[in-house]
Amino acid sequence: MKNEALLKLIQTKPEKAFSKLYKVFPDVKKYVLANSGSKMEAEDIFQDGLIILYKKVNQKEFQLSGSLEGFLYHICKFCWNNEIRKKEKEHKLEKSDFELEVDLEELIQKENQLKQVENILDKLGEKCKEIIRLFYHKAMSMSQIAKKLDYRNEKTAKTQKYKCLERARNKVLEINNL
Amino acid sequence: MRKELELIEKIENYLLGKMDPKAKAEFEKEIQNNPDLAQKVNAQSKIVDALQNMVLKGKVKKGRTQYKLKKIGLKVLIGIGIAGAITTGIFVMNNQDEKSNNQEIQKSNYQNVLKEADGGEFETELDNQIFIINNSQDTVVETEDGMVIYIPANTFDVEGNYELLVKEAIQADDIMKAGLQTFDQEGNLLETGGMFRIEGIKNNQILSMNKGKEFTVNVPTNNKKGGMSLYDGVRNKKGNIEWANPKEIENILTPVDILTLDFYPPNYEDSLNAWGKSTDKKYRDSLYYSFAGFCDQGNGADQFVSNNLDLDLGLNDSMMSAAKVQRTPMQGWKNRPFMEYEANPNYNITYTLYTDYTFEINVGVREGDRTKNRIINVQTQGGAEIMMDMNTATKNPPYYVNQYTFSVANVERIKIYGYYPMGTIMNNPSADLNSVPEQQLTEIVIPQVEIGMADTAMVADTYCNVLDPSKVKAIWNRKFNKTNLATKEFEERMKYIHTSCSPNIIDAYVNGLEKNLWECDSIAYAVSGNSKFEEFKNRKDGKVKLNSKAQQKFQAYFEKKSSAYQEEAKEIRANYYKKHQELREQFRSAQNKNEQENVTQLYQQMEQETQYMLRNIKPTPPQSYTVSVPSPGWKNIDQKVREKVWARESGTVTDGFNTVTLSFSSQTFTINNREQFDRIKFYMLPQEINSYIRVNEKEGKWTYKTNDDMKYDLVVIAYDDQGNIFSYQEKVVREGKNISMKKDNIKNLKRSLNNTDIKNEVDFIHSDLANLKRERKFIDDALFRGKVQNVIFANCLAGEDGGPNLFGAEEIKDEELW
Repeated sequence: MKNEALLKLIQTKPEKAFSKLYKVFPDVKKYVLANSGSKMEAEDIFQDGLIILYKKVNQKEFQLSGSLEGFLYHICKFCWNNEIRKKEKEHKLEKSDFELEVDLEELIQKENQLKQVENILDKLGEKCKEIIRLFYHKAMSMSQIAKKLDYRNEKTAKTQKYKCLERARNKVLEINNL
Repeated sequence: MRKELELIEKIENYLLGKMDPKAKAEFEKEIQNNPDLAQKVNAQSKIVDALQNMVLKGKVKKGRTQYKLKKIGLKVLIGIGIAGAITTGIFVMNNQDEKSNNQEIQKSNYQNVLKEADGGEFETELDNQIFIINNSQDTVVETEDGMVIYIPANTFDVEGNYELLVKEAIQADDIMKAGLQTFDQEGNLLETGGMFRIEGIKNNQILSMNKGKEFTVNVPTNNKKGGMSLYDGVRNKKGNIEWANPKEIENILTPVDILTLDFYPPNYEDSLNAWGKSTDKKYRDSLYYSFAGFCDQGNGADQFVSNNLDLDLGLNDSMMSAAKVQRTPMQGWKNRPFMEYEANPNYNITYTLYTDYTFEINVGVREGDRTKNRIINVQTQGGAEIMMDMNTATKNPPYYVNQYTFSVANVERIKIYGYYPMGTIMNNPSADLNSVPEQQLTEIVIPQVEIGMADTAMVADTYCNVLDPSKVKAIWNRKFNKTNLATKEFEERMKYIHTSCSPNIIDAYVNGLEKNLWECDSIAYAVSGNSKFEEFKNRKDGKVKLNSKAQQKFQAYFEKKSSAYQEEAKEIRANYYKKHQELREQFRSAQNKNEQENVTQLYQQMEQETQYMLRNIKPTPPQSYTVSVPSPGWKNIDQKVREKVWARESGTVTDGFNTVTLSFSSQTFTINNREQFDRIKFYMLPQEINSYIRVNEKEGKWTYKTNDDMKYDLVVIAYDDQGNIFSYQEKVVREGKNISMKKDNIKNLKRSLNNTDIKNEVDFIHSDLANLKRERKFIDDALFRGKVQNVIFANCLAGEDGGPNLFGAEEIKDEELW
């Protein structure tokens, strides 16, 4: 698939684009395995890479010189090198001068923070998860949610949602202050 | 609502852009002035970001599932909404570590539904996997254990979403854990390939399926068995499940990437590994495919054999007019193990000679580092037959050279029977046979009989029912992905297709791509009679779905490609042999030239030596008056001196006017570690004249009668078929000795001998060295190919009457071949 088409696809139907971009995975796996990683880690890195690619592509100033696949591979490689550096705890800071890589590093950092937050959300109770999911992912109104989840009224559901958010937020604040 | 919750609401509105501009500006100002608030906003915005990220991750997972599904060939189903799957990873799957109350409620919700339906709680050890499914769409879900379930739209009679509950016990420990038993209603024990329960649930009610709708379930297994059926679980009074209503499983095969399968003949890779050959797939492919067209007659290789057996002994026309060589296969040769050396000859080669003379044959047989008991027959046309038993001969050092001297009168032809892996014949040039001293016999190399190549000629009209590698090459490529051939099931069959000695078995499968594998099995069984295929048939393996139009295309492709690959391989082989033959001919002409030079050289040498001996002879003084003188005297001396020089005979020659005294002493040399060299060139260079003597080896010794009037320099050059070269040089040798050769190289040798009379000899040695090395490699390659051939065609090669294999039934070790 041509770059432009794939670029458009990633912006409109990301999952479809992701499935196409998955063909890069074997190469990434090879790279990770060759650099003391496991298959699981390869899969994780690749999924991270896809997300970073997605975000990068959706940045306004984004411009692509090579192929999207090549770019994805580059990102994954970069992510894995980053991971290794982290593992080895040797902050060698081999920061290259490439604007792109500095940029990528920021994205990776942000991504890692988000992962922590996701962990926090994942550890919320099922009820919390469901209410947040329906609101944020399914874009259901609070009154619909109240009905679906058998809350007395919209207000109770709302309060419940904010309680859940509060719990999560406090945990985020905790790690932010660490 | 508490104050803090109100703040959260406010921040949420801000983050979701639900504030009006005025309120927004104010709030932003507040944030700037209140670091505590700023932190809270930051934290909450991270939560929103993370929630978005989770959606994205769901999409990544979905992308992955689609990619995997595509890879296993379920392409049709792609692009169908997987409603529940987006969030399964995050919200739906039960998290074992977390025992929050909410989760328990959720779990027990479904558990209650099941409890109500089952009239009790069962299999609680198995997790309920819940997928939210949109009833209006076709959906594919993948469970934790890798079951792939395809759920068509409108499977249930509900509006919008419903929950799909899956319990699975695919792994043995899950089955045990859940206490599921494997008896049918008659109490027969069943062998399970996995159990699963699928329910549609909406509003805590178990849904029933619409008529005509069905799930398609793909249950992973490592060990697929025939005769598996799908049973319905029926709960008995005790609440245990008994299995009823067996329904035969339509055995759909799952194609994989064909390049991940192994279609090589059994033992091929193991053998290559054992021989330490490269593991590179490209190399292994090309080696295997190079045997394409093996059984086909009249190809380049076959031609090559006959060309090549048109042996040219290297005797040039000046030595022997019209040396003619014929090859006649001997009776019964086809049935003989190819590499076995027996008294029975494989070829009958006839050389026509035109002179009657006494000659010596010196056969040096390359033995690696040891000798074997072999017999070579040398027969003359006149009926005289000389047996040369290598075994008795090898008792004399050096062990690899055997010398026999025999005389035959009125020889017209010599017949040589048998094999000559490497051989030399000493012969003398015909021109002046009687005047050539014994040790000056010219060396002639008999080229090797093409061991490896004869295989093709040999199988040409014998039993050759092998699966041609071209056919394997034609199917073993991605074109055949998503067909019956790209399945683990077919891979198993390939082993037996290789070893069934039935070349067309494979066609049964290629021509039946739209059929079930078991149907092809039954044809294969009929064609080959190999009961293994009956076994396969009984497994009832199905097929990969394919329409008949595609089938025709595949068939055409297969036919076209397999014959193209055959031609290609044949051409490559023919070129290889042709190239070798060309190089060999080039070398032969260099060799012929060298032989001629050697003859000329010998005459020159003898003449120069004679002239040297006559250097002090004064001509008869001229007469002052006319007298008739019958003959000039010194010429007589000349003749006699010349004879003695040729014969290396001491004595005094006089014509009564002049006297010449000749004195010769015999010097004998030996060479240390003689057996390490394939060729030894031994030269003596008299300082007094511009010439040299080439001394030949006799019984491991180099003996020459040197002229006491002259000083000789010594040059010995030795080399082997690995390209190693050794030399020895000495100025003015006075007596024979044992020589130790020193490692040298051709460049250095050329330089150091550039100004001597044997300059041309060194040039020839250079090409002989290359030739020897090349011939060695050619034989090694041929032997290797012989071994490979034996592995890949296994038992499918034999003589017409079902005799032994070409190379014997077992693998043959190198030392047995040599």
